[in-house]
Amino acid sequence: LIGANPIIVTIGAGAIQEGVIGWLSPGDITPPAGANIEFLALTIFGLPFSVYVFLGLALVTDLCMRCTRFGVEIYLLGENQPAARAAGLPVALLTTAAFAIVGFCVAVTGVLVAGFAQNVNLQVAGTYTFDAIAAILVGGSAVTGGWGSVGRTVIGALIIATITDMLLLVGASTGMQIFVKGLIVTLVVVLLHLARREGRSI
Amino acid sequence: VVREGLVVIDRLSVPGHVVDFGLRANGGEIVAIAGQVGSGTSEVLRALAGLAPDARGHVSIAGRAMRLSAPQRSIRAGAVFASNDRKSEGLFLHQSVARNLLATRLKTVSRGGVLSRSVSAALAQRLAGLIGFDLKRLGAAAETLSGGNQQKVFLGRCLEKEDVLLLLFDEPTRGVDVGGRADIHNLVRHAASMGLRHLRIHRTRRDRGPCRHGGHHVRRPDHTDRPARGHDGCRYPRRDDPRLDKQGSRVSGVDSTTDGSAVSRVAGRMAQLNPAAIAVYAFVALLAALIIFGAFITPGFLSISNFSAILTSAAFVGIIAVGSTLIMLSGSLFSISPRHDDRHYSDPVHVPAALRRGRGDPGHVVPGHRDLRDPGRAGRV
Repeated sequence: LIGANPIIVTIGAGAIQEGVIGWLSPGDITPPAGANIEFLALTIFGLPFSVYVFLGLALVTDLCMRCTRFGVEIYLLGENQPAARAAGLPVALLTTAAFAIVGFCVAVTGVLVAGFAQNVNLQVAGTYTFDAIAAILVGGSAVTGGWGSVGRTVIGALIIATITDMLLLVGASTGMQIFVKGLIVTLVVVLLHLARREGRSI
Repeated sequence: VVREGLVVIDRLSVPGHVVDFGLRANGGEIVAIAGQVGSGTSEVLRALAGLAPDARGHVSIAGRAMRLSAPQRSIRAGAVFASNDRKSEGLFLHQSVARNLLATRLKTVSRGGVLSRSVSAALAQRLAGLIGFDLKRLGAAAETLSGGNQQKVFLGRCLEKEDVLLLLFDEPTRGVDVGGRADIHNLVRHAASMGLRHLRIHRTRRDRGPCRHGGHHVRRPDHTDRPARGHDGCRYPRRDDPRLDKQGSRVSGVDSTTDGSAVSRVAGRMAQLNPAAIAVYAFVALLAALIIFGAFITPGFLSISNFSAILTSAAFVGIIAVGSTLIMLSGSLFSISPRHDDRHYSDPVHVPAALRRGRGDPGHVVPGHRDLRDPGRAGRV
């Protein structure tokens, strides 16, 4: 499996999972099965529990990325994979760890969304995948790795959420929302690319 | 400490590149393996570094057998490799010099997985002193350095590690001007004189001009006063490193630590300005602008419940995004193939399908590996 294109593997695995779930529970809206997850919908000082989870997680991850060996190794790996391999960094382990952390984050989100909405179905978080990637890109991290930070992603997520909210308030259709978000992501990525090229040509 | 037969290589083969290569070398010795590009000399070093997964043979360092399967294993056995391609397989060009120097020893500068700032800084300064690098430029990005300084940083990364028994340098002076070359030879000799270390320089004849005699052996460089000329009296041709042209012709024999051309100094200062911080402010400003804009076009935008809604949706997306940032940063999204074995050969010779054995397509093989059957061709300096 090592060496397979991660994008294709992810899309494939995602499609398999979604297919199986859709097949087993066609369009059902499943209420939480007995488990007491109401506390997840609690609000503390007027803000939902999930906001604190988000900020806490972001803070911890950001510290990890900046001050631990793991974080620095992730940056080095992203900067130049052949070099990281030749330097003896545990490339496979680091990659697996990164993916495992994402898996954990997605699971946390799943539970929080279930607690917030008090029921779940397959479509409830439909645009999250795109929105998450959009948040990273709008935050200005490089897709090719080695450049960016968790803090930027937090700002990116706030920007994306603000835009989504504005579009909802204006009463834009789903198509319109996706269009605007796509437009903004494209714009920011192109601008950043130009800015960075400028910066390097010194 | 000189040990008899510190490094023993026996019947080393890399399919398509090297056939039955053997060598014995003692501690404190510098051994050069000579050969044309593609003759398999690089492959010998890569195999020892654990970067040629299909290599076969027996290698032992200080009496302990080493398996040739993974770079980490080689490093644990005491063999450290510096590729001939410092840009794509050596330095982390956008990271600081200090971080590049420490890249291979993050373990020694961290306690329980957390990096120690003071230990890192001290070690980086010690290494910079060893390679003769300007301490003030430790924070500059590696890409702003000249070719010679880049190479010194790259080699400096391999030096001064307690557990290193064998240094594998693949063409350590590639793309380095004459002054830098002498420095690097001195570094290599210094490392060898430290006793336990055993080093190997490997040179292929990469020069376009007829400078080295068929790459047969590497003579001891005359580092006293033979400036603008190569070791064998030939003028070295301009290398592929564009920086050499930018900085103009250098006065020969100048210690390249004082390499203070205006270009690189400005670049170093720009790197210290930290464009990342500026960008973050820009994004915060963008966010603020969005909020003000929102307040104008929609009436309920500034209400507390709406902010709560925004934060909630930001939280859901953000938790996923924070995790995914790690994947992005690790470059995993676009690392399609971890194989880079044959990349650095410039002129491919196509191999008939019948010759391709084992996994994958070796791409191209230059049929010159006969040379390596005779261990006598491995010259000593």
